[in-house]
Amino acid sequence: MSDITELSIAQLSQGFRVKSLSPVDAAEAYFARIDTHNDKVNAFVTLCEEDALAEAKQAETEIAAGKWRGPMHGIPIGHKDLYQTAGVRSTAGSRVLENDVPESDATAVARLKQAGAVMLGKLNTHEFAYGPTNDSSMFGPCRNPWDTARFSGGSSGGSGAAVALRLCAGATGSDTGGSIRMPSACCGITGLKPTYGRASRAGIYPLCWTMDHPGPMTRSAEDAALMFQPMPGPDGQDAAVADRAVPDYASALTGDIKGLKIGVPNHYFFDRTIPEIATAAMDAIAVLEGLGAEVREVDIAHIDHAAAVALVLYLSEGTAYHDDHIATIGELYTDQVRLFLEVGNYVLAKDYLHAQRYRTLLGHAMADVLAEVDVLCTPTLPITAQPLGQEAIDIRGETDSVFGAILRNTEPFDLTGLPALVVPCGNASDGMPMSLQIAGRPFDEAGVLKIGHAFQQASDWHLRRPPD
Amino acid sequence: MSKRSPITPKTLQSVAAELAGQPISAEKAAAHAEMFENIMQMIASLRDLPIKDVEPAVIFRPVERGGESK
Repeated sequence: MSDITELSIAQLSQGFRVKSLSPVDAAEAYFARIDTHNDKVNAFVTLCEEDALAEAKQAETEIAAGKWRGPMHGIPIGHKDLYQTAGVRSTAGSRVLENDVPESDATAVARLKQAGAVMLGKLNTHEFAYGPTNDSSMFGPCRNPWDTARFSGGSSGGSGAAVALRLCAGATGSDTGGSIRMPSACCGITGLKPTYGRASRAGIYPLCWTMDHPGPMTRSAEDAALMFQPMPGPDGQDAAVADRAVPDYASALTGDIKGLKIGVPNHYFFDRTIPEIATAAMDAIAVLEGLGAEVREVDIAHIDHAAAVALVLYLSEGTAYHDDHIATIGELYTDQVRLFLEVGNYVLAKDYLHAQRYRTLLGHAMADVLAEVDVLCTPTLPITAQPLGQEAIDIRGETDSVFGAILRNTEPFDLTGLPALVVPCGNASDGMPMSLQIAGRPFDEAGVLKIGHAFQQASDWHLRRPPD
Repeated sequence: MSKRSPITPKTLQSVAAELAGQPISAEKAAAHAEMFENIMQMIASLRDLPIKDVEPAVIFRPVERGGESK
Protein backbone atom coordinates (compact mmCIF):
# COMPACT_ATOMS: atom_id res chain seq x y z
CA MET A 1 0.00 0.00 0.00
CA SER A 2 1.66 3.16 -1.23
CA ASP A 3 -0.17 5.95 0.58
CA ILE A 4 -2.42 5.41 3.55
CA THR A 5 -4.01 8.85 3.07
CA GLU A 6 -5.58 7.59 -0.16
CA LEU A 7 -7.68 5.03 1.69
CA SER A 8 -11.32 5.60 2.51
CA ILE A 9 -12.68 5.49 6.03
CA ALA A 10 -14.13 2.07 5.23
CA GLN A 11 -10.75 0.78 4.04
CA LEU A 12 -8.86 2.28 6.97
CA SER A 13 -11.36 0.87 9.42
CA GLN A 14 -11.08 -2.62 7.99
CA GLY A 15 -7.29 -2.39 8.03
CA PHE A 16 -7.21 -1.18 11.62
CA ARG A 17 -9.58 -3.90 12.72
CA VAL A 18 -7.53 -6.74 11.23
CA LYS A 19 -4.33 -4.96 12.29
CA SER A 20 -2.90 -4.73 8.78
CA LEU A 21 -2.90 -0.95 9.21
CA SER A 22 -1.95 1.21 12.15
CA PRO A 23 -3.93 4.23 13.42
CA VAL A 24 -0.63 5.79 14.47
CA ASP A 25 0.83 5.36 10.98
CA ALA A 26 -2.33 6.88 9.52
CA ALA A 27 -2.25 9.92 11.82
CA GLU A 28 1.44 10.46 11.14
CA ALA A 29 0.89 10.18 7.40
CA TYR A 30 -1.88 12.76 7.51
CA PHE A 31 0.24 15.19 9.53
CA ALA A 32 3.06 14.75 7.03
CA ARG A 33 0.65 15.56 4.22
CA ILE A 34 -0.80 18.53 6.09
CA ASP A 35 2.76 19.79 6.53
CA THR A 36 3.43 19.75 2.80
CA HIS A 37 -0.01 20.59 1.37
CA ASN A 38 -2.08 22.65 3.80
CA ASP A 39 -0.54 25.97 2.78
CA LYS A 40 -1.89 25.40 -0.71
CA VAL A 41 -5.49 25.66 0.49
CA ASN A 42 -5.44 27.03 4.07
CA ALA A 43 -7.83 24.34 5.30
CA PHE A 44 -6.46 23.43 8.74
CA VAL A 45 -6.20 26.46 11.03
CA THR A 46 -5.27 24.66 14.27
CA LEU A 47 -3.40 21.37 14.57
CA CYS A 48 -3.56 18.98 17.53
CA GLU A 49 -0.61 16.75 16.65
CA GLU A 50 0.44 15.69 20.13
CA ASP A 51 -3.08 14.85 21.31
CA ALA A 52 -3.97 13.21 18.01
CA LEU A 53 -0.98 10.89 18.08
CA ALA A 54 -1.85 9.99 21.67
CA GLU A 55 -5.44 9.25 20.62
CA ALA A 56 -4.18 7.17 17.70
CA LYS A 57 -1.88 5.23 20.01
CA GLN A 58 -4.77 4.62 22.38
CA ALA A 59 -6.92 3.39 19.51
CA GLU A 60 -4.19 1.03 18.38
CA THR A 61 -3.78 -0.34 21.89
CA GLU A 62 -7.52 -0.80 22.38
CA ILE A 63 -8.01 -2.52 19.04
CA ALA A 64 -5.05 -4.81 19.74
CA ALA A 65 -6.71 -5.70 23.04
CA GLY A 66 -9.95 -6.60 21.30
CA LYS A 67 -11.73 -3.42 22.35
CA TRP A 68 -12.77 -2.21 18.90
CA ARG A 69 -15.27 0.61 19.30
CA GLY A 70 -16.65 0.58 15.76
CA PRO A 71 -15.84 1.81 12.25
CA MET A 72 -14.62 5.27 13.34
CA HIS A 73 -12.09 3.85 15.80
CA GLY A 74 -8.69 5.32 14.92
CA ILE A 75 -9.99 7.32 11.92
CA PRO A 76 -8.20 10.69 11.48
CA ILE A 77 -10.71 13.51 11.05
CA GLY A 78 -10.93 17.28 11.31
CA HIS A 79 -13.62 19.45 12.86
CA LYS A 80 -14.99 22.66 11.43
CA ASP A 81 -13.80 25.49 13.67
CA LEU A 82 -17.46 26.35 14.32
CA TYR A 83 -17.56 23.26 16.54
CA GLN A 84 -16.45 23.78 20.12
CA THR A 85 -13.61 21.53 21.20
CA ALA A 86 -12.57 21.18 24.83
CA GLY A 87 -9.13 22.66 25.44
CA VAL A 88 -8.64 23.50 21.76
CA ARG A 89 -9.11 27.00 20.35
CA SER A 90 -12.46 27.32 18.60
CA THR A 91 -12.76 30.59 16.70
CA ALA A 92 -15.65 30.21 14.24
CA GLY A 93 -13.21 31.92 11.88
CA SER A 94 -13.69 35.19 13.73
CA ARG A 95 -11.49 37.59 15.63
CA VAL A 96 -14.42 37.85 18.03
CA LEU A 97 -13.38 34.41 19.31
CA GLU A 98 -9.71 34.63 18.39
CA ASN A 99 -8.45 33.24 21.69
CA ASP A 100 -11.52 31.31 22.81
CA VAL A 101 -10.81 27.88 24.28
CA PRO A 102 -14.02 26.05 25.22
CA GLU A 103 -14.24 23.87 28.29
CA SER A 104 -16.36 21.21 26.68
CA ASP A 105 -16.87 19.51 23.34
CA ALA A 106 -19.80 19.99 21.02
CA THR A 107 -22.02 16.92 21.16
CA ALA A 108 -20.91 15.80 17.71
CA VAL A 109 -17.25 16.14 18.69
CA ALA A 110 -17.82 14.21 21.91
CA ARG A 111 -19.69 11.43 20.14
CA LEU A 112 -17.08 11.02 17.43
CA LYS A 113 -14.41 11.03 20.12
CA GLN A 114 -16.34 8.35 22.01
CA ALA A 115 -16.50 6.36 18.77
CA GLY A 116 -12.71 6.48 18.70
CA ALA A 117 -12.12 9.07 15.97
CA VAL A 118 -8.78 10.90 16.12
CA MET A 119 -9.03 14.71 15.88
CA LEU A 120 -6.18 16.04 13.75
CA GLY A 121 -7.22 19.65 14.21
CA LYS A 122 -9.68 22.39 13.35
CA LEU A 123 -10.75 23.52 9.91
CA ASN A 124 -11.29 26.91 8.32
CA THR A 125 -14.82 28.28 8.07
CA HIS A 126 -16.51 31.34 6.70
CA GLU A 127 -16.78 33.64 9.71
CA PHE A 128 -19.56 32.31 11.97
CA ALA A 129 -20.73 30.25 8.98
CA TYR A 130 -22.25 33.42 7.52
CA GLY A 131 -21.38 33.01 3.86
CA PRO A 132 -21.13 30.43 1.09
CA THR A 133 -17.56 30.97 -0.11
CA ASN A 134 -15.20 30.80 2.91
CA ASP A 135 -13.42 33.90 1.69
CA SER A 136 -14.23 35.82 4.90
CA SER A 137 -12.30 34.32 7.79
CA MET A 138 -9.81 35.62 10.32
CA PHE A 139 -7.40 33.04 8.88
CA GLY A 140 -7.81 34.26 5.31
CA PRO A 141 -9.70 32.53 2.53
CA CYS A 142 -9.82 28.79 2.14
CA ARG A 143 -8.83 27.90 -1.40
CA ASN A 144 -10.15 25.24 -3.73
CA PRO A 145 -7.71 22.34 -4.16
CA TRP A 146 -8.74 21.92 -7.80
CA ASP A 147 -7.74 25.53 -8.58
CA THR A 148 -6.36 27.63 -5.76
CA ALA A 149 -7.47 30.86 -7.43
CA ARG A 150 -11.05 29.79 -6.73
CA PHE A 151 -13.10 29.55 -3.57
CA SER A 152 -13.58 26.30 -1.73
CA GLY A 153 -17.24 26.94 -1.11
CA GLY A 154 -18.47 27.55 2.36
CA SER A 155 -19.12 27.88 5.01
CA SER A 156 -17.44 24.54 5.76
CA GLY A 157 -14.70 25.30 3.25
CA GLY A 158 -11.81 23.95 5.28
CA SER A 159 -13.64 20.66 5.63
CA GLY A 160 -14.28 20.43 1.90
CA ALA A 161 -10.74 21.32 0.88
CA ALA A 162 -9.11 19.08 3.50
CA VAL A 163 -11.12 15.98 2.60
CA ALA A 164 -10.60 16.51 -1.13
CA LEU A 165 -6.86 17.08 -0.76
CA ARG A 166 -6.39 14.04 1.51
CA LEU A 167 -5.50 16.06 4.59
CA CYS A 168 -7.98 14.03 6.66
CA ALA A 169 -10.22 11.04 6.06
CA GLY A 170 -13.40 12.89 6.94
CA ALA A 171 -14.54 16.14 8.49
CA THR A 172 -17.50 17.67 10.22
CA GLY A 173 -19.45 20.49 8.66
CA SER A 174 -22.59 22.43 9.39
CA ASP A 175 -25.30 23.43 6.94
CA THR A 176 -27.69 26.38 7.27
CA GLY A 177 -28.17 27.37 3.63
CA GLY A 178 -25.97 24.69 2.10
CA SER A 179 -22.73 24.94 4.06
CA ILE A 180 -22.01 21.20 3.98
CA ARG A 181 -23.24 20.65 0.44
CA MET A 182 -21.74 23.75 -1.25
CA PRO A 183 -18.09 23.09 -0.31
CA SER A 184 -18.61 19.38 -0.92
CA ALA A 185 -19.79 20.19 -4.43
CA CYS A 186 -17.09 22.79 -5.05
CA CYS A 187 -14.31 20.45 -3.89
CA GLY A 188 -15.62 17.22 -5.43
CA ILE A 189 -16.48 15.26 -2.30
CA THR A 190 -19.57 13.74 -0.67
CA GLY A 191 -21.54 15.61 2.00
CA LEU A 192 -24.57 14.71 4.08
CA LYS A 193 -26.93 17.28 5.53
CA PRO A 194 -29.15 15.20 7.77
CA THR A 195 -32.72 15.94 8.74
CA TYR A 196 -33.16 18.96 11.02
CA GLY A 197 -33.39 17.50 14.52
CA ARG A 198 -31.53 14.30 13.72
CA ALA A 199 -28.19 15.39 15.23
CA SER A 200 -27.58 17.82 18.04
CA ARG A 201 -26.44 21.39 17.40
CA ALA A 202 -25.18 21.74 20.95
CA GLY A 203 -21.73 23.25 21.12
CA ILE A 204 -21.77 24.50 17.53
CA TYR A 205 -21.88 28.28 17.20
CA PRO A 206 -25.26 29.10 15.64
CA LEU A 207 -26.01 31.00 12.47
CA CYS A 208 -29.76 30.31 12.47
CA TRP A 209 -31.12 28.22 15.30
CA THR A 210 -34.02 27.03 13.16
CA MET A 211 -31.92 25.96 10.18
CA ASP A 212 -28.52 24.75 11.45
CA HIS A 213 -27.69 21.12 10.67
CA PRO A 214 -24.43 19.32 11.63
CA GLY A 215 -23.20 16.50 9.41
CA PRO A 216 -20.25 14.66 7.85
CA MET A 217 -18.14 15.47 4.79
CA THR A 218 -16.28 12.54 3.28
CA ARG A 219 -15.03 11.03 0.04
CA SER A 220 -17.98 8.68 -0.45
CA ALA A 221 -21.51 7.92 0.65
CA GLU A 222 -20.21 4.80 2.39
CA ASP A 223 -17.80 6.92 4.43
CA ALA A 224 -20.57 9.43 5.19
CA ALA A 225 -22.70 6.59 6.56
CA LEU A 226 -19.88 5.40 8.81
CA MET A 227 -18.97 8.87 10.05
CA PHE A 228 -22.55 9.95 10.63
CA GLN A 229 -23.50 6.81 12.59
CA PRO A 230 -22.37 8.07 16.02
CA MET A 231 -23.81 11.58 15.59
CA PRO A 232 -27.64 11.33 15.82
CA GLY A 233 -29.93 11.16 18.80
CA PRO A 234 -30.93 13.22 21.84
CA ASP A 235 -28.22 14.61 24.09
CA GLY A 236 -30.30 16.53 26.61
CA GLN A 237 -28.89 19.79 25.30
CA ASP A 238 -30.65 20.42 21.99
CA ALA A 239 -34.43 20.48 22.32
CA ALA A 240 -34.82 20.13 18.54
CA VAL A 241 -33.33 16.65 18.44
CA ALA A 242 -35.90 13.95 17.80
CA ASP A 243 -35.97 10.84 19.94
CA ARG A 244 -36.29 8.44 17.04
CA ALA A 245 -34.65 5.14 16.28
CA VAL A 246 -31.31 5.48 14.49
CA PRO A 247 -30.83 2.84 11.80
CA ASP A 248 -27.56 1.16 10.90
CA TYR A 249 -26.70 3.39 7.96
CA ALA A 250 -24.03 1.13 6.49
CA SER A 251 -26.47 -1.76 6.24
CA ALA A 252 -28.68 0.39 4.00
CA LEU A 253 -25.92 0.48 1.36
CA THR A 254 -27.11 -2.55 -0.56
CA GLY A 255 -26.59 -1.10 -4.02
CA ASP A 256 -30.11 -2.20 -4.91
CA ILE A 257 -32.28 0.75 -5.90
CA LYS A 258 -34.62 -1.11 -8.24
CA GLY A 259 -38.10 0.38 -8.14
CA LEU A 260 -37.15 3.44 -6.11
CA LYS A 261 -38.89 6.53 -7.42
CA ILE A 262 -36.80 9.59 -8.21
CA GLY A 263 -38.48 12.93 -8.67
CA VAL A 264 -36.87 15.54 -10.90
CA PRO A 265 -38.28 19.02 -10.27
CA ASN A 266 -39.65 20.59 -13.44
CA HIS A 267 -38.68 24.13 -12.47
CA TYR A 268 -36.45 26.21 -10.21
CA PHE A 269 -33.49 23.84 -9.71
CA PHE A 270 -32.52 23.54 -13.37
CA ASP A 271 -33.81 26.91 -14.65
CA ARG A 272 -30.86 29.03 -13.62
CA THR A 273 -28.21 26.30 -13.63
CA ILE A 274 -25.43 26.50 -16.22
CA PRO A 275 -26.18 24.02 -19.00
CA GLU A 276 -23.24 21.67 -18.50
CA ILE A 277 -24.11 21.18 -14.82
CA ALA A 278 -27.76 20.54 -15.71
CA THR A 279 -26.58 17.98 -18.26
CA ALA A 280 -24.22 16.32 -15.78
CA ALA A 281 -27.02 16.04 -13.22
CA MET A 282 -29.38 14.50 -15.78
CA ASP A 283 -26.62 12.09 -16.86
CA ALA A 284 -26.21 11.04 -13.23
CA ILE A 285 -29.96 10.56 -12.89
CA ALA A 286 -29.83 8.42 -16.03
CA VAL A 287 -27.22 6.24 -14.30
CA LEU A 288 -29.65 5.76 -11.41
CA GLU A 289 -32.40 4.94 -13.89
CA GLY A 290 -30.10 2.39 -15.45
CA LEU A 291 -29.78 0.78 -12.02
CA GLY A 292 -33.53 0.25 -11.90
CA ALA A 293 -34.86 3.47 -10.38
CA GLU A 294 -37.98 5.04 -11.84
CA VAL A 295 -37.62 8.68 -12.80
CA ARG A 296 -40.50 11.10 -13.05
CA GLU A 297 -40.98 14.84 -13.28
CA VAL A 298 -42.43 16.60 -10.24
CA ASP A 299 -43.72 20.08 -9.50
CA ILE A 300 -42.92 21.69 -6.13
CA ALA A 301 -45.36 24.45 -5.26
CA HIS A 302 -44.14 27.77 -3.84
CA ILE A 303 -40.46 26.87 -4.34
CA ASP A 304 -39.66 30.19 -6.04
CA HIS A 305 -39.76 32.09 -2.73
CA ALA A 306 -37.08 29.96 -1.06
CA ALA A 307 -34.19 32.38 -1.46
CA ALA A 308 -36.09 35.38 -0.07
CA VAL A 309 -37.27 33.37 2.90
CA ALA A 310 -33.84 32.00 3.69
CA LEU A 311 -32.37 35.50 3.51
CA VAL A 312 -34.92 36.84 6.00
CA LEU A 313 -34.08 34.00 8.39
CA TYR A 314 -30.31 34.53 8.16
CA LEU A 315 -30.68 38.26 8.66
CA SER A 316 -33.06 37.97 11.61
CA GLU A 317 -31.58 35.09 13.56
CA GLY A 318 -27.97 35.94 12.77
CA THR A 319 -28.34 39.51 13.93
CA ALA A 320 -30.19 38.43 17.07
CA TYR A 321 -27.40 36.02 18.04
CA HIS A 322 -24.64 38.58 17.45
CA ASP A 323 -26.55 41.60 18.80
CA ASP A 324 -24.31 42.14 21.83
CA HIS A 325 -21.07 41.84 19.91
CA ILE A 326 -22.14 44.05 17.00
CA ALA A 327 -22.75 46.84 19.45
CA THR A 328 -19.56 46.44 21.45
CA ILE A 329 -16.88 44.84 19.28
CA GLY A 330 -18.37 45.15 15.81
CA GLU A 331 -15.02 46.17 14.36
CA LEU A 332 -13.70 42.64 14.95
CA TYR A 333 -16.00 41.12 12.34
CA THR A 334 -14.97 40.89 8.69
CA ASP A 335 -16.57 43.60 6.56
CA GLN A 336 -18.88 41.20 4.72
CA VAL A 337 -20.26 39.50 7.82
CA ARG A 338 -20.59 42.76 9.72
CA LEU A 339 -22.61 44.19 6.82
CA PHE A 340 -25.08 41.29 6.98
CA LEU A 341 -25.33 41.59 10.76
CA GLU A 342 -26.05 45.31 10.57
CA VAL A 343 -28.60 44.96 7.80
CA GLY A 344 -30.44 42.37 9.91
CA ASN A 345 -31.48 45.21 12.20
CA TYR A 346 -33.99 46.40 9.61
CA VAL A 347 -36.05 43.22 9.15
CA LEU A 348 -39.51 43.50 10.64
CA ALA A 349 -40.77 40.83 13.02
CA LYS A 350 -43.80 40.24 10.82
CA ASP A 351 -41.57 39.43 7.86
CA TYR A 352 -39.54 37.01 9.95
CA LEU A 353 -42.78 35.26 10.88
CA HIS A 354 -44.01 35.32 7.29
CA ALA A 355 -40.77 33.53 6.43
CA GLN A 356 -41.35 30.93 9.12
CA ARG A 357 -44.93 30.46 7.91
CA TYR A 358 -43.62 29.94 4.38
CA ARG A 359 -41.48 27.10 5.69
CA THR A 360 -44.63 25.31 6.80
CA LEU A 361 -46.15 25.93 3.38
CA LEU A 362 -43.08 24.63 1.55
CA GLY A 363 -42.84 21.69 3.93
CA HIS A 364 -46.34 20.61 2.92
CA ALA A 365 -45.52 21.09 -0.75
CA MET A 366 -42.41 18.91 -0.39
CA ALA A 367 -44.38 16.30 1.58
CA ASP A 368 -46.96 16.17 -1.20
CA VAL A 369 -44.23 15.45 -3.73
CA LEU A 370 -42.40 12.98 -1.49
CA ALA A 371 -45.62 11.04 -1.08
CA GLU A 372 -45.29 10.22 -4.78
CA VAL A 373 -41.52 9.72 -5.06
CA ASP A 374 -38.84 8.47 -2.69
CA VAL A 375 -36.27 11.17 -3.35
CA LEU A 376 -35.69 14.33 -5.33
CA CYS A 377 -32.59 14.72 -7.49
CA THR A 378 -31.24 18.11 -8.55
CA PRO A 379 -27.95 19.75 -9.41
CA THR A 380 -26.30 20.67 -6.09
CA LEU A 381 -25.03 24.00 -7.37
CA PRO A 382 -26.04 25.98 -10.45
CA ILE A 383 -22.42 27.04 -10.99
CA THR A 384 -18.94 25.72 -10.36
CA ALA A 385 -16.53 27.24 -7.82
CA GLN A 386 -15.64 30.72 -9.05
CA PRO A 387 -12.51 32.85 -8.63
CA LEU A 388 -12.10 34.33 -5.17
CA GLY A 389 -13.62 37.79 -5.01
CA GLN A 390 -15.87 37.38 -8.03
CA GLU A 391 -19.28 38.82 -7.16
CA ALA A 392 -21.40 38.29 -10.28
CA ILE A 393 -21.84 35.55 -12.85
CA ASP A 394 -23.72 35.11 -16.08
CA ILE A 395 -26.13 32.18 -16.07
CA ARG A 396 -28.09 31.50 -19.24
CA GLY A 397 -27.76 35.09 -20.34
CA GLU A 398 -28.76 36.67 -17.04
CA THR A 399 -26.49 38.16 -14.43
CA ASP A 400 -26.80 36.73 -10.94
CA SER A 401 -24.82 37.32 -7.76
CA VAL A 402 -22.41 34.51 -6.96
CA PHE A 403 -23.75 34.35 -3.38
CA GLY A 404 -27.34 34.08 -4.59
CA ALA A 405 -26.57 31.53 -7.27
CA ILE A 406 -24.51 29.22 -5.13
CA LEU A 407 -27.17 29.06 -2.40
CA ARG A 408 -30.14 28.65 -4.69
CA ASN A 409 -30.45 24.85 -4.94
CA THR A 410 -29.42 23.92 -1.42
CA GLU A 411 -31.53 26.36 0.63
CA PRO A 412 -34.91 24.67 0.00
CA PHE A 413 -33.77 21.61 1.95
CA ASP A 414 -32.59 23.70 4.91
CA LEU A 415 -35.92 25.49 4.94
CA THR A 416 -37.75 22.17 4.97
CA GLY A 417 -35.20 20.33 7.11
CA LEU A 418 -35.12 17.38 4.70
CA PRO A 419 -32.03 15.16 4.49
CA ALA A 420 -29.86 15.78 1.44
CA LEU A 421 -26.74 14.03 0.20
CA VAL A 422 -24.48 15.45 -2.47
CA VAL A 423 -22.14 13.38 -4.62
CA PRO A 424 -19.66 14.35 -7.34
CA CYS A 425 -21.00 13.71 -10.85
CA GLY A 426 -18.42 15.16 -13.20
CA ASN A 427 -15.92 17.88 -13.93
CA ALA A 428 -16.95 20.93 -15.93
CA SER A 429 -15.09 22.49 -18.84
CA ASP A 430 -13.31 24.78 -16.35
CA GLY A 431 -11.99 21.66 -14.61
CA MET A 432 -14.07 22.16 -11.49
CA PRO A 433 -16.24 19.45 -9.92
CA MET A 434 -19.98 19.20 -10.54
CA SER A 435 -22.38 17.56 -8.12
CA LEU A 436 -25.74 15.83 -7.81
CA GLN A 437 -28.04 16.49 -4.85
CA ILE A 438 -30.30 13.70 -3.53
CA ALA A 439 -32.95 14.82 -1.03
CA GLY A 440 -35.27 12.49 0.84
CA ARG A 441 -38.11 12.25 3.31
CA PRO A 442 -37.65 13.41 6.89
CA PHE A 443 -35.27 11.15 8.83
CA ASP A 444 -34.56 9.00 5.78
CA GLU A 445 -30.83 9.61 5.72
CA ALA A 446 -30.48 5.90 4.98
CA GLY A 447 -32.49 6.36 1.79
CA VAL A 448 -30.34 9.14 0.35
CA LEU A 449 -27.14 7.36 1.39
CA LYS A 450 -28.36 4.20 -0.33
CA ILE A 451 -28.93 6.00 -3.61
CA GLY A 452 -25.66 7.93 -3.36
CA HIS A 453 -23.78 4.72 -2.70
CA ALA A 454 -25.46 2.96 -5.62
CA PHE A 455 -24.42 5.84 -7.88
CA GLN A 456 -20.85 5.63 -6.63
CA GLN A 457 -20.78 1.89 -7.26
CA ALA A 458 -21.65 2.65 -10.87
CA SER A 459 -19.37 5.66 -11.40
CA ASP A 460 -15.93 6.83 -10.36
CA TRP A 461 -16.33 10.59 -9.96
CA HIS A 462 -15.91 10.29 -6.19
CA LEU A 463 -12.53 8.60 -6.68
CA ARG A 464 -11.11 11.49 -8.67
CA ARG A 465 -8.98 13.88 -6.75
CA PRO A 466 -7.44 17.30 -7.22
CA PRO A 467 -3.85 17.53 -8.45
CA ASP A 468 -1.11 17.57 -5.82
CA MET B 1 -50.37 43.93 -0.96
CA SER B 2 -49.19 46.53 1.51
CA LYS B 3 -47.80 49.72 0.05
CA ARG B 4 -44.50 51.07 1.19
CA SER B 5 -42.17 53.88 0.23
CA PRO B 6 -38.61 53.25 -0.98
CA ILE B 7 -36.09 52.99 1.80
CA THR B 8 -33.96 56.03 2.45
CA PRO B 9 -30.58 56.20 4.19
CA LYS B 10 -32.12 58.57 6.72
CA THR B 11 -34.70 55.98 7.71
CA LEU B 12 -32.11 53.30 8.25
CA GLN B 13 -29.86 55.64 10.17
CA SER B 14 -32.77 56.35 12.49
CA VAL B 15 -33.68 52.69 12.89
CA ALA B 16 -30.07 51.79 13.64
CA ALA B 17 -29.69 54.49 16.25
CA GLU B 18 -33.16 54.75 17.73
CA LEU B 19 -34.48 51.18 17.53
CA ALA B 20 -31.47 48.88 17.27
CA GLY B 21 -29.21 50.97 19.48
CA GLN B 22 -26.35 50.61 17.02
CA PRO B 23 -25.75 53.98 15.31
CA ILE B 24 -24.18 54.02 11.85
CA SER B 25 -22.57 56.68 9.71
CA ALA B 26 -24.34 58.43 6.85
CA GLU B 27 -22.07 56.67 4.36
CA LYS B 28 -22.90 53.28 5.79
CA ALA B 29 -26.61 54.12 5.86
CA ALA B 30 -26.45 54.90 2.14
CA ALA B 31 -24.84 51.53 1.41
CA HIS B 32 -27.34 49.74 3.63
CA ALA B 33 -30.26 51.48 1.94
CA GLU B 34 -29.22 50.31 -1.50
CA MET B 35 -28.75 46.73 -0.27
CA PHE B 36 -31.87 46.62 1.86
CA GLU B 37 -34.13 48.09 -0.80
CA ASN B 38 -33.26 45.04 -2.94
CA ILE B 39 -33.95 42.76 0.00
CA MET B 40 -37.28 44.45 0.71
CA GLN B 41 -38.35 43.87 -2.88
CA MET B 42 -37.74 40.15 -2.30
CA ILE B 43 -39.47 40.26 1.08
CA ALA B 44 -42.50 42.01 -0.39
CA SER B 45 -43.43 38.86 -2.27
CA LEU B 46 -43.72 36.97 1.02
CA ARG B 47 -46.53 39.25 2.12
CA ASP B 48 -48.66 37.95 -0.74
CA LEU B 49 -48.24 34.25 0.00
CA PRO B 50 -51.30 32.12 0.89
CA ILE B 51 -50.29 31.82 4.53
CA LYS B 52 -53.31 33.26 6.32
CA ASP B 53 -54.03 29.99 8.13
CA VAL B 54 -50.46 28.72 8.26
CA GLU B 55 -48.56 28.75 11.53
CA PRO B 56 -44.87 29.68 11.61
CA ALA B 57 -42.42 26.79 11.80
CA VAL B 58 -41.44 27.77 15.33
CA ILE B 59 -42.86 25.68 18.16
CA PHE B 60 -42.87 26.78 21.77
CA ARG B 61 -41.91 24.09 24.26
CA PRO B 62 -42.51 24.54 27.99
CA VAL B 63 -39.29 24.05 29.87
CA GLU B 64 -39.16 21.01 32.13
CA ARG B 65 -36.37 20.63 34.64
CA GLY B 66 -34.38 17.44 34.19
CA GLY B 67 -35.26 17.33 30.53
CA GLU B 68 -33.63 18.99 27.58
CA SER B 69 -31.98 22.09 28.91
CA LYS B 70 -31.78 24.44 25.92
